[in-house]
Amino acid sequence: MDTDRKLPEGVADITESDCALKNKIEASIARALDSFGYNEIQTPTFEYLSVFSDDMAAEREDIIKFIDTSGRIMALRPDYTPSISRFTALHKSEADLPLRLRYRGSIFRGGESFGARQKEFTQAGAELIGDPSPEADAEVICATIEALLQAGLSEFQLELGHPGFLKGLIAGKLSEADFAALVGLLDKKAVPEIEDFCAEAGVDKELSALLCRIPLLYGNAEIAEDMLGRGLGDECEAALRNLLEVCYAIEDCGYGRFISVDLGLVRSFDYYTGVMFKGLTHNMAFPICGGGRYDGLSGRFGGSFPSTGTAIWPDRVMAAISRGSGRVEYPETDVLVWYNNNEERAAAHALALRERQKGKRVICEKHDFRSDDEVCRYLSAHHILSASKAEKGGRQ
Amino acid sequence: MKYLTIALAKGRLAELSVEIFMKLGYDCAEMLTKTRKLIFTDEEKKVKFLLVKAGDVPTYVEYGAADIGIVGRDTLLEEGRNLYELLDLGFGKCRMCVCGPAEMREKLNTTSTMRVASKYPHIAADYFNAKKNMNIEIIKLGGSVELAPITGLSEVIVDIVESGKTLYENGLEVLEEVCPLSARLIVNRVSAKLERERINEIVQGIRGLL
Repeated sequence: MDTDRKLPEGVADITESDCALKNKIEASIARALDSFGYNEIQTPTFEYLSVFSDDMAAEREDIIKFIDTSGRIMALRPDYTPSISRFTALHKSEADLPLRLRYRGSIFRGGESFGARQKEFTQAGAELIGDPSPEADAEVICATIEALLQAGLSEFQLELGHPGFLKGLIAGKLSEADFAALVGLLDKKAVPEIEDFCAEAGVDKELSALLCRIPLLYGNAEIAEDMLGRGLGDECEAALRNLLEVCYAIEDCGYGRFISVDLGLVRSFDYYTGVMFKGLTHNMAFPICGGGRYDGLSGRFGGSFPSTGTAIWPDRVMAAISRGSGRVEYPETDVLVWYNNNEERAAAHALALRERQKGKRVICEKHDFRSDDEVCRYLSAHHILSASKAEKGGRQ
Repeated sequence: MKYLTIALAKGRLAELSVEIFMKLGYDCAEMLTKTRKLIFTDEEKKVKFLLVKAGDVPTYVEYGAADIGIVGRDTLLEEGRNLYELLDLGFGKCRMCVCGPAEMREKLNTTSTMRVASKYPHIAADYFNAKKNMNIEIIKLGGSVELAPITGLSEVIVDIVESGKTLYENGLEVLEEVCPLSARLIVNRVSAKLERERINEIVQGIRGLL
């Protein structure tokens, strides 16, 4: 098998031009999150499987695992949030709160590996730890919007939902397995199947009619306002009010036009306890970002910090941008310094150093440039300098 | 205004779908004529119709190359794509069934190993492995699945049954029903949100006709 040159499925090389664009996007995201006061941290690429797998039944098969030399099961991080939660429980105390952290790096997921489904992704995100208020959720969402804007996207929507709405509606009326099945159907907005499911699971008529409507309950905040005061129970009412408070706070921050509400929003991680969201844009069939409130997660690591966070997928943001507006060129070489022989080498490198100190991108090579072809290779350089002669000529 | 793209499964389903869109006032009659075109445009309403192979409809919709699709539930179950399945259109009604010679009826509940031939390996595997807890061997075929039990390639088949005539003429019968099938309206997850108003108009329009 030709495994020397081929890549495994689901991973990719990134060429210079793509890398330049990706770096630019990641830097913009990092700058935006930084401007909201989030400090960058790094966590290990792999950790004990238990860090990631406890509350993530849905993701467990997705995690890429391996056994280290001591025989323990390790996991390549499938997601940053549990690592950040562990980090906080390990290194921080109440006195450090509220804590604003951000991160950037690769995450790894197995499972589906066709088409756009890569096994290694970059994730850039932020977590606000120790603040339970709706304003904290709003801050994280506004920072996400600002990051996407800075990255170069202009048309996108973040849709907000709340797990408490569905949980409140069901409140003990379904077994755990049936609830999971219903969540799967709601995720697909499969109205016909929800109808069949309700009949089979013996859900009463009123609730069944409401469950069939939920998939279509998306749009502006009025959708949620409309459901208030309908006697859906305390948990539903609280979830709707919390969702609306977050929406209003986002509007006050000036980012209202980028958000919408989806009362049927469900997410694959079941650790969300409050407002959760995902971001959509044209030219990209998969979410470009997502996140939410996960107050219970730190309990696993012996902490108890209310937390809310966001994760942006720069690869998808990049794909959406480059599909919309074509390729971005990678930066050209500014200067080529060349010399004929070793006597000129010291002078050439001194010249190159001076140019680099001016902030130029400089290549310094031994050449004798007898043929045009050789010069042509360097035509992208704006200036060609010779160590022995005066400047050979420049191009702008 | 951006074009809204609708993918239809070539064949009978497309014909029935075109009738629906014509009733809603879309200019797509050309699709019913003998033509080899694969893409049809209603310039006034800014809608494009694509004719694609049934199995590809969910793919077009999942990746957003089409915003909306109309396809049989069999294809959706087999493909397992990530999209919204908003409406049961009620036409193209049939059943996914386990079929075979009559003497297999009894064995279906007593034997633990069996060979099952099907054009729908995922649906067959899900039914036997997950619902019936049977460990079966699946043999994927491209068509004329009825031949499999006759030639001894498999014990039973999982296939779509409409009238049951083909089964009867080949000495087979329906042994168990896997699930009912009909045409579904599917929508891309992003389009549903970003083109909410136009897509809702279509969905509500079709709902009104059902």
